[in-house]
Amino acid sequence: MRVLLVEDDDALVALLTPQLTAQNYVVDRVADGETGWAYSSTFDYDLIILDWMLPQLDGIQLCKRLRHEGFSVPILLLTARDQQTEKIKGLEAGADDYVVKPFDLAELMVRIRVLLRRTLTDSAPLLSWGDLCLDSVSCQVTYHGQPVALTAKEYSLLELFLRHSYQVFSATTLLDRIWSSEEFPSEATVRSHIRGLRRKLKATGAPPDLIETVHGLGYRLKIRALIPAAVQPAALPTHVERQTRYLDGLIQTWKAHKGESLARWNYLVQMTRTLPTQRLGEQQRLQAQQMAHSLAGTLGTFGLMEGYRLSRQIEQLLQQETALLPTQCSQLQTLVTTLGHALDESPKLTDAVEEAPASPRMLIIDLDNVPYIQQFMALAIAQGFEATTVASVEAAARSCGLGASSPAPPPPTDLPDLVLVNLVVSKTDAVLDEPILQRLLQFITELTQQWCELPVLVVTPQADFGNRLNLIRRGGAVILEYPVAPAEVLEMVVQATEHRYRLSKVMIVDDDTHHLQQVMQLLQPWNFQITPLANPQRFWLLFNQILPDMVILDIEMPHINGFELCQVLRSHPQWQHLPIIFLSIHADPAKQDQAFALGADDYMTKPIQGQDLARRVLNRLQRSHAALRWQQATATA
Amino acid sequence: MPTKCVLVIDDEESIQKVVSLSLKMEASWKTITVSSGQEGIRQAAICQPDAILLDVMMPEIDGIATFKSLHDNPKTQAIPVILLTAKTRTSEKRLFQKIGVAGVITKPFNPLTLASQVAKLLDWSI
Repeated sequence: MRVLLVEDDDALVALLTPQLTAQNYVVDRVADGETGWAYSSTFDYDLIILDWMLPQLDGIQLCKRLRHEGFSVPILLLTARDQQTEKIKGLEAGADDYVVKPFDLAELMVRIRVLLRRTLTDSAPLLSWGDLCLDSVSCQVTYHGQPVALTAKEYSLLELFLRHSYQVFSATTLLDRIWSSEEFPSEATVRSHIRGLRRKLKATGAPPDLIETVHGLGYRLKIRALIPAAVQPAALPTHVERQTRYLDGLIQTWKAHKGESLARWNYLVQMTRTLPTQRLGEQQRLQAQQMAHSLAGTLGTFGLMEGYRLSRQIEQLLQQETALLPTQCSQLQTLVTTLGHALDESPKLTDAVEEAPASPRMLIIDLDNVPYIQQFMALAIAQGFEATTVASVEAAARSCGLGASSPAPPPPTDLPDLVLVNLVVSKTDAVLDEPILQRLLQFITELTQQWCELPVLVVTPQADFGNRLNLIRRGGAVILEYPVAPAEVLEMVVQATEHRYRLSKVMIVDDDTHHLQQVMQLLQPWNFQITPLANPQRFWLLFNQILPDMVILDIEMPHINGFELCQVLRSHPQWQHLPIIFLSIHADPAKQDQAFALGADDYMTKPIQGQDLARRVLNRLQRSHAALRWQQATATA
Repeated sequence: MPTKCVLVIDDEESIQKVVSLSLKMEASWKTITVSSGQEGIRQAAICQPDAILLDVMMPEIDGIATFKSLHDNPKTQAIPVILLTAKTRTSEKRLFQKIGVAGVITKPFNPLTLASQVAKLLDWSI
């Protein structure tokens, strides 16, 4: 992985660079924005870490320039500015994440990994190819369970091959991707490192040509290496054979039809070009929405998941019937530009057997088309919410199954996950006129009587004690006083839905790497920050680096079993309430009793379903969070 | 057991091919592919497939209108129809099931298990 660090603070660079290098990132460091631009526009980076305050060209300007020129590389902004508005400014300039100084180094490393994972072809930190396994968290490589000691460069080469399996890399590309610009290696250096890597892999029993030379083109992982040696050349394992054959078919079909997707993308590009000056006509909006919808279907089918996600976001933005705000226009432009890059990916097999969880649905009641609500909506969509705005109390009642027109209440699944009521008038920033205000208040009362668990957030310019009390009595869960930044509203919304648990850190300990990978794939749609660990002896070290919100443990593991790990955690004052789930093949009640007696919160038996596991993980996180809040409340009382 | 024949109605030629590839590789089923609802209605009456995989969002006659035509025609009303659609809301799924389709498969589907999904919905064995 190649990282560009644009930072003028030498002390910080001296702290960060060894950490990054220790994780096998190749680091280029520059100290001003203009040089940052020169480097980032010349070399291919997997990530740019950018300081805000820089000489010549500041971080925000550089970020904007990169996005404007169509660079989709993930950018992490590193700055001492911690105001909410500054964060928004940073994210609007095109940064993907934002870390405020002083920061916790371990957290920064995790956020870097998460950011990289989001954009990588293979999102799993645990990469494998047949018997070869690379754990990008612990930087360990094993072949058939045997550890392989590699140099940093050999490791980086192998990681690149594994992340882009089936892709052929020329020596020049490898030089660009693996070596920093300060080094001056030749193609002979690449050959020498490939030789070294092959030799070390062979020493552990791997085929000598696991990394094969494709004459005239470069190097790649050998497909036959996916098949265990014991069964070659006799009957091939059906699954692997099917995967390989299917992938070939997928690649051929994509080659023949990529043009159609490019034409659709091109339509979206043309549409976004007219946007800043011209309002989208209804027909044009619907057409563009249809294009994005078709693109999502096609790209998802071919396993181009980044393109699929971007198309879905574009489709969502185009769903709104009101005119797009300037911020939404630029958001749309960025999404469309990024989509262009995603179309260059190769098809791959997605093992996502579970349907991704539905996005949280939010109903916004905004009678006066207030601009900040529209800004808020754009932010919410970017965060993965499905937001719908209604402009009348009647429409709101219909959406929530209230009123005479719908005598039978809809089942709870038809309800939004959250309702936001705006009581502010657009032009005057005052509260709505009395008759309409009373109707809205009555609506809140009816809504919360009918659906008492549905969170209702209210934004109002009148948030004195009397008005707060009135709104709370009517069932409002959160009252926000206007003016309030859209990001702040979103923060409250995120807190009011289970959405927040989806970014929780979950550590999974299981010596069976196949099972680890399977669990990670099952949980992948829920966006947890997952840290897998196959070696329980490294548990304490990694645990203290990550500080997870939850631990999932296998029972039987070499050297240290899951029960012992559970006891270690429970014997520590800080971790007595950390959620612990056991995941085991043992279904006998004695083992389960033992687990609960040692302090487990839940026990699940393999094989498991992703949705079931995710539900139980979310449930545990929610309970733990509630307990924590209760503890804090009683401590302050 | 005779090979099943599935009619695939999708305006995306690339998706037709991927669906055919999946069903052929996974279950050795025969597929007939067409690009519009109108053509699908015609082919269903002529070929009498064992099942129909139908895209929801298509230009001109969309999937729902196509399904209604298939359902109203005595020659095709007994053929089970599975809708293929991009990620949907639960309410939409419920609506689809209410109109009498045999099932809904969400796009993007997992190509390696598409045939099993179809078989499970229709109670077929592979």
